[in-house]
Amino acid sequence: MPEALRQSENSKTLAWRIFKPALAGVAAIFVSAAVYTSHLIAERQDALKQTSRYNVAWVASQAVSELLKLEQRIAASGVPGSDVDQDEVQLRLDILFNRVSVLAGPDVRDLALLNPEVSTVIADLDLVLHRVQPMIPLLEAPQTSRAMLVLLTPFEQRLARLAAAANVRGGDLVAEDQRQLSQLHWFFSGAMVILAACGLGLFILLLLRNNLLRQVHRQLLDRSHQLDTQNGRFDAALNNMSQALCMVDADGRLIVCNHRFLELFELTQQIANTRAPIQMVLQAVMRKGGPRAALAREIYARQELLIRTREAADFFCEHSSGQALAVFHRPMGAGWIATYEDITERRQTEARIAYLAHYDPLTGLLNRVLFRERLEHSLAVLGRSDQPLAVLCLDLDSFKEVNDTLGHPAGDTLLKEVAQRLRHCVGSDGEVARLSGDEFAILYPSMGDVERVRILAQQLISEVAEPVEIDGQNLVVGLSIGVSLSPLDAIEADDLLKKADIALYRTKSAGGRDVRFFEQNMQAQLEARRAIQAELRGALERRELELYYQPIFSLSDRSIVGFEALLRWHHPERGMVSPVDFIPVAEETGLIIEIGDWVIQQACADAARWPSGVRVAVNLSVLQFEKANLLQVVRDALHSSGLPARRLELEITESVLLKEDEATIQTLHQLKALGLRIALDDFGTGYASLSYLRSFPFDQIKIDRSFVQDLGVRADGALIVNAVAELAQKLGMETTAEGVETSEQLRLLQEAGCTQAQGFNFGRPNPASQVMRYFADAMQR
Amino acid sequence: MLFTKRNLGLYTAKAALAGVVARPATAAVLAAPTQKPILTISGKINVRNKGETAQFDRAMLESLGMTSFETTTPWYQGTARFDGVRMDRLMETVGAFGERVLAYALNDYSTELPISDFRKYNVLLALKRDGAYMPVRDKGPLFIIYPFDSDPELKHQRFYSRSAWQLARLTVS
Repeated sequence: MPEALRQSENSKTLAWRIFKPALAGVAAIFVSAAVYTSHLIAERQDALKQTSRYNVAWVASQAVSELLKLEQRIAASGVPGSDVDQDEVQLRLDILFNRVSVLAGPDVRDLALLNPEVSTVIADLDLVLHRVQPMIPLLEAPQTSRAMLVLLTPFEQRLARLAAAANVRGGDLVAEDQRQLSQLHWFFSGAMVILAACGLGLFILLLLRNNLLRQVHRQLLDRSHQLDTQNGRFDAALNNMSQALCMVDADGRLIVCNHRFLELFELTQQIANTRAPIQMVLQAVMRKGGPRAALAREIYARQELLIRTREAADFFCEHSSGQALAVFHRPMGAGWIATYEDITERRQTEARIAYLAHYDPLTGLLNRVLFRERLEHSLAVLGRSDQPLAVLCLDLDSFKEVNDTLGHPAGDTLLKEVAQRLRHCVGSDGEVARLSGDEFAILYPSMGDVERVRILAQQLISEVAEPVEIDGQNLVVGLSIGVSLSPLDAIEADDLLKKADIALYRTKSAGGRDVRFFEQNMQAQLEARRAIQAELRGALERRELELYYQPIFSLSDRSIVGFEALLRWHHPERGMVSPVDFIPVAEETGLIIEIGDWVIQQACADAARWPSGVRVAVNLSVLQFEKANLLQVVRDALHSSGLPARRLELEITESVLLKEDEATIQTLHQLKALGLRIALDDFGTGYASLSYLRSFPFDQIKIDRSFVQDLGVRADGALIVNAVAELAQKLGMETTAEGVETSEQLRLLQEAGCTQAQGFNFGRPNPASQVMRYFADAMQR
Repeated sequence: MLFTKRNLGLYTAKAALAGVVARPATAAVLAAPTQKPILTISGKINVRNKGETAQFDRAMLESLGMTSFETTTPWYQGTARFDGVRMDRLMETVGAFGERVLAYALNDYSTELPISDFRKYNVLLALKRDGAYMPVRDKGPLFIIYPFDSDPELKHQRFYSRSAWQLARLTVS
């Protein structure tokens, strides 16, 4: 709560604290004023009750009148013929007696206290009346009536004076009462003024109170609004949770739940609104039936225990259908709270991940991990039972080409088909795995019989060699296999796999579509290659590579037309390493691109110092064509060396054309457009397809040394050379014979129509520094 | 209380009926006083026994039925018990059909009473105070008494002055 708000709250509380006593005070004043007024009125009432005392004068004056009547009757009784009898006189006397008793009463007593004569008069009258009483029977006698009148007459005056005194007294009483009334009026007015003031005070207090109430009301509204907002937020948070949530009170009634809860257990909003007992909610879920209901029953059974023991727990329940819920249960107050999360998908994902971790999703075969596990397991079993087994590593020949030319979907289809065939061949005896790309592996119990394994391998090769139909095309792929045996070759899984792989490598280098068993020397050779591979890296930087040049002679005049650049590696320890040993390694590792670029530059730079008209021939690798910047490399080499393009000849082998790649042909055209020459190297050794000669207008054909060596030895040797030379001549190409060693060969080549030759005896490959010697010799000659 | 009022209501109806229908018949019922009459009623009455008036001696009054109550009064110290005839009963007996009664005392004091007072306040024509007949010397022989203690309204000079003592005559008007 902000400080300012708290202060205002405090002042309000204080106002309330003051207000209550103030209200009580005003109420007390009201009550006392009312009581006082009531008291005054009661007092006045009492006074007014005694207004009979005003009558004292009248009572006294009646005495005079009654006395006169008695005297008149007494006087009349003496007159003859009057109808006044003794009874009448007695009655009048009695009436006067009554008056005396009245005068002796309380009303007149006050007067008597003030005026002593009053009591004397009454006492005297009573006395006289008693003296008159016995005279009544003697009334016949005139002297009696006279005597009676003599007794009574003096009271006429005295009673009149009493009446007068009473009258004055009455006046005084009236005046006194009027004064008191007036006083009462003032008291009353005072009380009224106080009451009015109290009323005003009360009114002001009420106004203040209303004001306070209004403020409090406004605050309550604010709070209510804040609570609404807060509630809205809680609601939003609650209903946007991915977990289902429910809160249950001490009586086991559902007090809060979110949409997800209703959704998860397929409940209606109504059940959420009615604070339904959780048992009822459960029954509603059970009525729906199905796996969800079964799950709910199982979950609640566990929760019931937790509710009883007031414990917290996280657990999950899974139904055989695969549906799974994770439950988070916590006691809260006297009740509990729980969240339920549908982890069906997560569980499925976990299962899928578990599958993916062990199986290849494309082919359904074991993956490398599971294969290794199985292999280790089998080896462990083997260790105990002495059961030999074989590991086969398999690789598809030219799978990369399938992928590149037909696309990955076709490649995938092929892999699936191959996997199918492998599994079919192996059957239930062994395990088939896909290790990566087009690499497969098979774990097979050899039963100590190598032939059994060889038969299987041959079966696999022939099975896979059957055409596969993909997108209406029949595809034929070869399978290469390497085998290692346990315990013969190794007893460790990794070792066994490695050795099978080495055997496979040998199969592949020997052209593929075959099977080889691991042999110890394979490893030694491989290790030697590895060493070359490791040392070749960096050989350029260390300037261990050098170009040697072998002269090419014109057969017509024996003049030097050019040199073929040949790569040499001066190894610091091994000495000169043969290109036969390191070029394949360079090609395998891709180092050939870097080295090939260097060769082009170096050859151009060296040739630029030679006499004009002398060419330099450089060999290109297939890999250099696959790299996009070959054209640029050649152009840069020419430019920086200043060598005219016509003096550069690039030699390619048939393998460059093997793929019939548009891009390769285009690159060749672009190179030729620079003005340089393109030669087809090693013609006749590879596929020897004449169609290659059509695919590109070569400038030169180099006849492989194997044909040249046959010249003069085999009859058909000359035939082939003749045919090639003639063909070249007709196509407008020059021919160079390689590996010319004897004069006889030279003569025959000349006869066949070859234009150029090169050979060990005519000119060995020499370092660039010694090339200049040829020109000096030539000039001397 | 409710029961009493209903009874009174019935009673009123009977009285009105008697006033209209049985006027000649009741005229003969009131006997002449055998002793010295102490009360003479005149004016608007249907039942007479002497000329235009109806006269009552003490026995005749007592034969109308005596009732009593106790009350304080301005004239006596403390509570006094009064015995006498109900004024409404008396008015019924003489077949009074007026609205007011003028009461005359022996000393010729007069005061006026509305006849409606009699039933409303159960007004008594008292003959005895504290069990003894009241003599002329003590406000007798007849005293009209209101039961002052039964209603605070009665403790007022108006009713005190209506309470005539030494009553001798009544004139219905």
